[in-house]
Amino acid sequence: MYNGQKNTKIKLLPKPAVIALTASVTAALWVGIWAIAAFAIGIELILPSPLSVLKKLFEIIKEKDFFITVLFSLLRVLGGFLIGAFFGLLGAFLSYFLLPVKIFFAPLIKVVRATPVASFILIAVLWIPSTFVPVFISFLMVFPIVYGNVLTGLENTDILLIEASKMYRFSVRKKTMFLYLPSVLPYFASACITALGLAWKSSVAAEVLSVTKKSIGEKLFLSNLYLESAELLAWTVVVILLSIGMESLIKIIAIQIKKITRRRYERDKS
Amino acid sequence: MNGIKAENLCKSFGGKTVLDRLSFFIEYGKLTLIVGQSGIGKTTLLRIISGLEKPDHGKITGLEGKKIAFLFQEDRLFPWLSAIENICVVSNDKNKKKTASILLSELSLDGEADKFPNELSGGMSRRVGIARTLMYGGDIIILDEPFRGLDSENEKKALHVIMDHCKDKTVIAVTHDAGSFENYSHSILKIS
Repeated sequence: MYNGQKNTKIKLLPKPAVIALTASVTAALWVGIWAIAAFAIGIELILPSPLSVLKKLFEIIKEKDFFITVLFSLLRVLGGFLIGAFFGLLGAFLSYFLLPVKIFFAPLIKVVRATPVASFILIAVLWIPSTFVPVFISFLMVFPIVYGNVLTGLENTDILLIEASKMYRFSVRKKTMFLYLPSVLPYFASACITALGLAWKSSVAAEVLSVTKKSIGEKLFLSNLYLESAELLAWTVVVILLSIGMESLIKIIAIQIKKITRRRYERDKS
Repeated sequence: MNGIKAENLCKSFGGKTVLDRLSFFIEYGKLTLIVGQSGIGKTTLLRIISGLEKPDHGKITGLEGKKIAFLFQEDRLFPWLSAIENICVVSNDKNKKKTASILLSELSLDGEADKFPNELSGGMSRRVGIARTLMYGGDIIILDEPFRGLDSENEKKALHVIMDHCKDKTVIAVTHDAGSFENYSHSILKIS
């Protein structure tokens, strides 16, 4: 029904553009606050300006060992992540089927979750070569998350489907492939997203405390040692960017996995 | 005469008696319909015959070494598998895909093979469930309300397919409408 008002159409920006715009404005705002704070303090050693950090960032990128340093740090965290994810998955399956294994792991998981990561790093430094400390710490961060999530997924496997697989005499391989793995896949994907971010941060912390050769952590440590605040922040920016990159990558992978499995999971509950 | 023999079967759940000293005999190779009021224990009886439940008392014989296929009251399709994958998954046969396609065709599900359970209607899911049970095969075919959610046309078709594939097999079906099976020779086991 015509109500006398002019029919006006408001052109809205597409959602990704709005998100990008909002993010850019917010980032600019924070960089502005940072610049003002740096100007107010006026001492580069305490708080370098965004411009000097940016300059330093370009300098360190041009250094010949930059990519090697980044690559080695990434390999360490990925190594720990993959080992943690594999053993988390395996441990969860064993715990689901064998109660003694679940009982055995329970205190370990609780202790790992409750203990500060710095304690583990300092203990690990005494036990293993510094190159492997970040790998071990990544593993330690990833394992309980993947283990816990996958175990929850297994415990939530549809009992009716378990019974059906029993009735149709599924082999262990068939049960794993067609029942349990698809059931835990969303739980595993979520765990990986959470665990990777944590593993990355913990791994860098481990590199700092164990002064791992050819690592971002070592660069952070040396920058701090030589009071190179701009370089310290430049490397921190590298860590943040890599963290965002890795998180985005794993999110894309997880979304693709979920896309493939979503329609398969959304059961008709009617 | 060979068959499944039950003597004084008793089963209770949480203090509620579901089956109380039930005895019966089901002849091998015949169609037996189990009828009775809702909640009287028909499904429990099927679960005992299939081995999914153990009776509290009494014994059941004639099931030793028999392969049993069970069409559950719920369709219990694997949500991450397509209709045809749901059927094939219960078989280790080399030609399982071809057999599954034939079954789907017989049940008027030709175009639905690659659909996932959430994309199928209730009636379609039921027919996929029937196809899966027939694919699994076995000596004893247990059907719990096989035509739930099917319209009369699909019910007739499904019945025909089931009986065609289960010739000379022991078929035990729980149904609220024994009339559906009137064209096939059958025995009735009434639980009261």
